[in-house]
Amino acid sequence: MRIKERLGEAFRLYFILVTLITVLLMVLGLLFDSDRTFGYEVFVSPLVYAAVGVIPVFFFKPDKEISMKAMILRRVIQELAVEAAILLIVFNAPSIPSERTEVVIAIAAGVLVVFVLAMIVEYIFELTQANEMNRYLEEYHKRKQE
Amino acid sequence: MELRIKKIPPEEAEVLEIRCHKLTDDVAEIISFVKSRQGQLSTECDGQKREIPIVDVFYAESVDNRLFIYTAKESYEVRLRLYELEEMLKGRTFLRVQKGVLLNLMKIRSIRPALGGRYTALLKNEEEVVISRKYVTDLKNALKGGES
Repeated sequence: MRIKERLGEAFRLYFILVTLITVLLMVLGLLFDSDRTFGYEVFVSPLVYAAVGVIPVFFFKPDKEISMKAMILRRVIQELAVEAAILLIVFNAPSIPSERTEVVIAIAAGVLVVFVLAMIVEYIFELTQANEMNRYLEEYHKRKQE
Repeated sequence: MELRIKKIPPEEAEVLEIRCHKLTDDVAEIISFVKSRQGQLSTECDGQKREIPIVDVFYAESVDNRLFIYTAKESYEVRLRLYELEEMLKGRTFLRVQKGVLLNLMKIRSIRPALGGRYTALLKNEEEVVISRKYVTDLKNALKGGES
């Protein structure tokens, strides 16, 4: 896969992740640290976390097209890589109370939820496209058989 | 090789004759091209030569610089390059869906998502062929009534 295609995939995933991470931060913040106030720089954090989340897109890319099962396996490996990266940030960021086990578990679970939701959003989008192509395919078959 | 073209009256049958000292790869390629224009592909399977009707071909795949065509149940080797076959099949129902795969759109039963902007074409013989993200727009255009 060429770098241009990888960038396209990364951009699409990036914006899905930014949205979902923003929601995740709001939910986790309300659950564990609802009294805290932040400066405007807090708006940067979803952008940074999403950037970490798209890094695996640039790895595990064989030239040959892989099957759906292999793609899901690859996504699982990517998810584990993202979990590791996010937890590394969590344990090194002074603003995150990583000494609280429930906070770490909630962040790890949140990352998993975001990843699964991103895949579902992507699948729904592609399913719409596939349905449209199936309609065109039916018409194409009719035209060519006439 | 000298090339001679002779115009004949409409009542005479058209003939393409190749006069050669030896059946070289170049000559085989010319024969293959002519047959493809007549709706057949010259193939090899277990050392035996066979003519396969183009309408029976589900897809063609280039593997390690060798080209194979797949029918409902069999696969055959074709002594051509993928781009040559693509050129020969222009105007028919074939479309490039991967770097190394030409797919017969008439053999697709349905299309479904395969994640990452890719799709899977489920063929009428239950085989599956992945459509690369890069070729999805071409496929849509072809199905909507563009070329192929």
